[in-house]
Amino acid sequence: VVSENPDAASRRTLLTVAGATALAGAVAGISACGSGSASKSGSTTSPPPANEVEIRLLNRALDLEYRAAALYTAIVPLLAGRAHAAAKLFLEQELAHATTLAGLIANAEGKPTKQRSNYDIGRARGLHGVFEMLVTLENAQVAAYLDAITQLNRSSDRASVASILANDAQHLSVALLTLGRNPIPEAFVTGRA
Amino acid sequence: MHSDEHAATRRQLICRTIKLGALAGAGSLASVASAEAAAPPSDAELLLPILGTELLAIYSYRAILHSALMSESAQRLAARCFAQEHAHIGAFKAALEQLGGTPPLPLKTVSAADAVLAAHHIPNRLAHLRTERDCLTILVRVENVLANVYHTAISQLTDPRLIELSAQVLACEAQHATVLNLTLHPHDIDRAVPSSYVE
Repeated sequence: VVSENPDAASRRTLLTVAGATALAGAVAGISACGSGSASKSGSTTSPPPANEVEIRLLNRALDLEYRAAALYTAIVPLLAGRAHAAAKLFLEQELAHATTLAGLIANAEGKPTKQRSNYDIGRARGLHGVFEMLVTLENAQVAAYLDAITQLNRSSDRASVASILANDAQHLSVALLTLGRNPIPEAFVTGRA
Repeated sequence: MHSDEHAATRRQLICRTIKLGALAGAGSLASVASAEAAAPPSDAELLLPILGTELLAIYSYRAILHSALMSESAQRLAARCFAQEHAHIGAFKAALEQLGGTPPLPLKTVSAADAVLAAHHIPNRLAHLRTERDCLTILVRVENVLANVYHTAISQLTDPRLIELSAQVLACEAQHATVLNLTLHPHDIDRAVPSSYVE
């Protein structure tokens, strides 16, 4: 459904990515919002928060969101047509998730993980390899949110995490469809399909 | 029907009590009323709308698959979704029975299913299916209602296993909506994944 770039073959060299080093300015801008609220809570010398497990799990999910944003940022310029439109949309959505997560962590009196200056996103050969990478990453995000959701104390946080998880599951379906695989492989989505 | 009448009577009583309390300025009546009104639903109560909406989905998928109005690929996709809805209903029916609840009965007629679609503010009717587009539009709308029902339940359920199960199924319903939308509008990724948050 999401078409491949007709020029994909000529770009295979470019797509042999050995670690994406550059994130778009948008990523930095959005994550800065999150870390702004984090620095407030992080500057205190109060004892560690009671909900450490919750904060650790949310930070793990946040790190995966940054990683996904890094991957989409790296591939958007290399795609065309529907694949480009999808990757661009999903990048925006991952950034929105990162902002929301940073807010949830700050509300739980935790310090949101900061976005790194670079992410080793591995090597991909051609569009197929890139979309395989996306499948792995979106699956990892779904699994991380499922780990976190039952540990959250606030019901509103559970609802927020669930709505993000489901959106990442949609990204997963589109990536699977692009690869010509079954886009709805599980009746109970676990992030392990 | 009997329980609906009972619920209406109880709601009326609570409303009357709140009004009386406010008029009299007496705290006791008002606090009784607010305690009743604020009582959170039990997990068993929260599973009822989930099962009711899943039964609507099952009925809709079955009717649409039997209509033979869709292309082979759309038919194949709908059959996959239908099988997954069956798995969902099995899991939540078992969960409700474990909690001592009684699952709602399956929908039996097109008019009954259409009445439930109307109750969910879905304008399309199974009785008026003419094209593949009609079929996919109803399915997308039912999937969106399902996602909303699960999302609402997740913030209120107390059993962690049910919370996790609901999150897994919410993700599945969101995927159904995406792939059905892409079948309906193959070039429109914005319609297929319209928001960063599925609610």
